[in-house]
Amino acid sequence: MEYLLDFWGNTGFGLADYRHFIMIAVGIVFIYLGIVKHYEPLLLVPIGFGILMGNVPVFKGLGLGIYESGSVLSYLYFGVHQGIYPPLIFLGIGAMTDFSYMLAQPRLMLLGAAAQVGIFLTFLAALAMGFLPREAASIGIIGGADGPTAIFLSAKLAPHLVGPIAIAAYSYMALVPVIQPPIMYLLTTREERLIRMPDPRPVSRREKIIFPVIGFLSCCFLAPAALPLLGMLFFGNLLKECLVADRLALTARTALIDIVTILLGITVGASTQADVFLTAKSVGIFLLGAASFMVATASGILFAKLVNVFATNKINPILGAAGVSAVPDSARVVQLVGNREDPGNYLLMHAMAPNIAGVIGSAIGAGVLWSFMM
Amino acid sequence: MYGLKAISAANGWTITFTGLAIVFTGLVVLAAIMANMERFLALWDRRGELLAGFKHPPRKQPFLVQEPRTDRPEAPTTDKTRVHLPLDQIEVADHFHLITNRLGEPFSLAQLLEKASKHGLSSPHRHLDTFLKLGIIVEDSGDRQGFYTWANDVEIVRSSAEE
Repeated sequence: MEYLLDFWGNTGFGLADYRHFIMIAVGIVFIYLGIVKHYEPLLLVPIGFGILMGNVPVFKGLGLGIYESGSVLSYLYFGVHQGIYPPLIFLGIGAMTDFSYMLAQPRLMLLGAAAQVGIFLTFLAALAMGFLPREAASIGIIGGADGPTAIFLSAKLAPHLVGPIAIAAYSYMALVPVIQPPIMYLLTTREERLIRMPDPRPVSRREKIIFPVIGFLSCCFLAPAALPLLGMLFFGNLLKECLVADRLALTARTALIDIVTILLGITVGASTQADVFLTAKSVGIFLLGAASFMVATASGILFAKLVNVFATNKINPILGAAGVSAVPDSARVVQLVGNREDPGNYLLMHAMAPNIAGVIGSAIGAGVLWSFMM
Repeated sequence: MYGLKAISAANGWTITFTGLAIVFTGLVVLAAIMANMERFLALWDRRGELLAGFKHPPRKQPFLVQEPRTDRPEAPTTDKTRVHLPLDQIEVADHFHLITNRLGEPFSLAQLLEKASKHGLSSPHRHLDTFLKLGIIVEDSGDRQGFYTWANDVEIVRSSAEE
């Protein structure tokens, strides 16, 4: 009987408390949202399963948990807390993204800048709530709606918050179709949502090749701390557009980004161990993250409306919502909302412009925050 | 610390305004560059046509003679302007004379410098500049503009300090 009790005490059932079961439920919800609802399945399924892995209670000292030195998971997690995976993901994003919609309509890039207001307002709100400046900066970046950027910055500034911040960022990115439409309807009139955008001009191959070089130099000279993210993003895009490095571009946008996404998802999920994750701070991070996301969406829309006051060629203000850098989900949501009002109004390609500008803008924002906190 | 005090203590306002300014500047600069990229590239494509207006058509040297020109009447010795040069520059001038005798007059300064450099003359540009400033070598006129000759009305003499 004593042996049986010992054995029971060594099992997960014996070691678990209610917090583990809460986190396991969260993991199952993530997997459900990914598989059944198709909300960012490539991210939510690995993260959800990672949450399950991280919340099976284990003996401390056996080298099993992600926070124990020498464990397999801790080696895989190295890429997260040293900020290695996010730039590799940016490389893949660069290699798969067509920047031509943005190049054809440069004025829409400003909507991507406006949406970054969410980052800085959330930073202020986090400071006001008592978070330390480095923590506040990491929380603020959730408003960029860019998972890799959020992980990169929090790994540099507040490594103990990587788990909650990553989970918050990816949760809200997955919930873009739920969060953004009500804000769009609230801040725009039907007439505004009906505005049709002119067809973008064709962009030459030369422009597409020159852009990553100029984009990289101009952004990184301005915010050098954004170099790891923007360098890889623009490099990936150059590989894609130059047409002479097809093999590298193909690897970056397929095998490499897939491998890194798996490792990132699993380890970020596993980093949400109940005892580390379920704290008052995490709740605060989730609340601020949601606020950040909503403010970012609203900022983009309101800025588009402001531009319309002066511009002769009006911009459909719901395009501003795509300024948050959840590529391409927020652009897709803009298309859906616009299409619902006018089935002949195709906004997707126009929405890609602020969407991609948002990726660049949030990376610059992260670089700026990092350099201020150094 | 909470609230506005916490924000002020962490320089939150400064970071926010500066950060937003940098993000906007970055994307505005990028947008401005990309908005004009098509124009820059169009100009680049027409660069030959545009630069043609600034370039002189290539001209041939009017004539090259192997021997010094003899058709030019020598100016009377009495009318010559005396230019005082140190010994080393007089040697350089003699060297230049040797070269231009082979090139023929009028000569191209580029060819003169090239030959002088090949002959191992040190700082030929500096000496040539002095000769041009002193009017020892002068530019030809008319259809020979751009080519140079030795001034006939100049007599080179050694500086008195060295005599």
